[in-house]
Amino acid sequence: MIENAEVNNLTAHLFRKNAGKMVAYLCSRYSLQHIDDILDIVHDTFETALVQWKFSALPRNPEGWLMQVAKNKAINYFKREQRKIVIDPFELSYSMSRLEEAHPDPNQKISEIGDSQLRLLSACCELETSSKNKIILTLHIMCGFGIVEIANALLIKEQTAKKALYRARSLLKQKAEIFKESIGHREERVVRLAHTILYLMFNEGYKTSNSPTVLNHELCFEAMRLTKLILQEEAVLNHETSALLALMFFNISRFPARLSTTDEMVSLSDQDRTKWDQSFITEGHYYLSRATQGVELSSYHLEAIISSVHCAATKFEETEWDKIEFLYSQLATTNPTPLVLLNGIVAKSYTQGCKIALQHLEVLKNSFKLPNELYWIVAADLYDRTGRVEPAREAYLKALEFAGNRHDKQFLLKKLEDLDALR
Amino acid sequence: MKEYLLLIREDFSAYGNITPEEMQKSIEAHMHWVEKLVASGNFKGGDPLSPEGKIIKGRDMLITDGPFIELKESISGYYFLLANSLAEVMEIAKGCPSLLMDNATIEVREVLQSEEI
Repeated sequence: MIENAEVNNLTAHLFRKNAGKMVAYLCSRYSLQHIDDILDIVHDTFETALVQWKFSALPRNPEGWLMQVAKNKAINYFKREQRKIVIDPFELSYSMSRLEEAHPDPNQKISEIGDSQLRLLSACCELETSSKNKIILTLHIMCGFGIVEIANALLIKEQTAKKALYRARSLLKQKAEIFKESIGHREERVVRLAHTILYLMFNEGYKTSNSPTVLNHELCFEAMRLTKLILQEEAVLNHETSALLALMFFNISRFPARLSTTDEMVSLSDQDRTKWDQSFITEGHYYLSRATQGVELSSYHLEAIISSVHCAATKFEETEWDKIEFLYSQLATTNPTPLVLLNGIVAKSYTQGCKIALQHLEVLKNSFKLPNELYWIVAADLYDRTGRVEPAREAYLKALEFAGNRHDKQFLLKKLEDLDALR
Repeated sequence: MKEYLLLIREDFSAYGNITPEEMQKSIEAHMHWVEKLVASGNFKGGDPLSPEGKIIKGRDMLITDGPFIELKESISGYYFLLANSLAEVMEIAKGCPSLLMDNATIEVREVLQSEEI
């Protein structure tokens, strides 16, 4: 019974964080084949917490409480199940021995939980399905996201998320061997896959973070939490992981400046840089220094350094574009994505002028399939800055045609208004 | 001040769709509500009730599973609050997060002290 005002608050997103922990731990104790039951058990554990905690004081160690309750529920559940279903003898002796081990163990080794999370993350990233599906599954299983949360965060339909999840979950069951000791969940190949998925998850969140739902920020933070998990537990490719994390920290430092007070998107050149979160920038530098202790120079390294150059300029006019242009050209040799190439042209426009940049843009357009909206935004900006009002206007209108979300549209309409004001 | 019992009835079957984040939010909302009531001196106590239980009935003392009459109206917990009148405690009850977050029904009853009768 609550008798005084002593309320110890829950850490932000504690449940979300522990959802993945508990699921991973139970998968390692039992089997990934039981993922559906395990997800139910974990959900049930949260329900128990909800029912009990909301009317009384919190347990002293909420995380330990959750894990213990989940373990007990799992023990009861699988004991009951074993009586009901015929299991192959090997499986039975295996899970029985596991059951015996599963007795209350308050000094649960962190590394064991961490390791099981890493294995589960690897399993999600290794599925033979699209990156989007992998992100959906990872969010659901490792981060406790529900269907609606996934749909809102990724800007997809609930029905789409539901279908993808159903399919990915059945694929995941075939990955049960990842929890066997000898499986190389720390192989370079697997870690690379995880990097890619987390990078994409982060970008999904970043790209849409100019929408008013906070969920998109959370997508970024979840991607960062999982990246940290790899770094803590993982010796393989640690420099790349650090670089990825550095890149994420530099980018999120701009969150507070990306939306105006009236909820409009603010471009890099107009952002109030005093709003950039210096503590995130500092963390970015910390991970960047760890990343550059090795000899590798991955695309994450280059992107992190580019982002750090932006962070270092206290005014837009002070941006060291020559560095950025060079870094993009390096990036383009190993990773020539349309986004990298377009960004390279933007950098060029500040070092060599808009005219030359426009020429490069034309060449690029003829040899590459560029994303329409981005192409027209870059083109419009280049015309705009050379004072060619009409072509700029046309390009902004084109971009508007392809604009994906409300904030992009608002942003472009504002640009058009500014152009009209010039006339 | 008089003492009132608040019985919170809610639909357990609706829990299946709540996400961990939402559950945490719900717990936090309850904690803050109670914190406020403790500060204003309206709070006396409260406890959750286990969803599992038994029912014993009448002279036959027949024991059945329960305690639900209907799953939709299970009592999930109770509070004892202090207030000057039923009207005042009803105003306080309006702030209970269970109403908004769990679509709960709250039954409010005054606790009668025998010496006052």
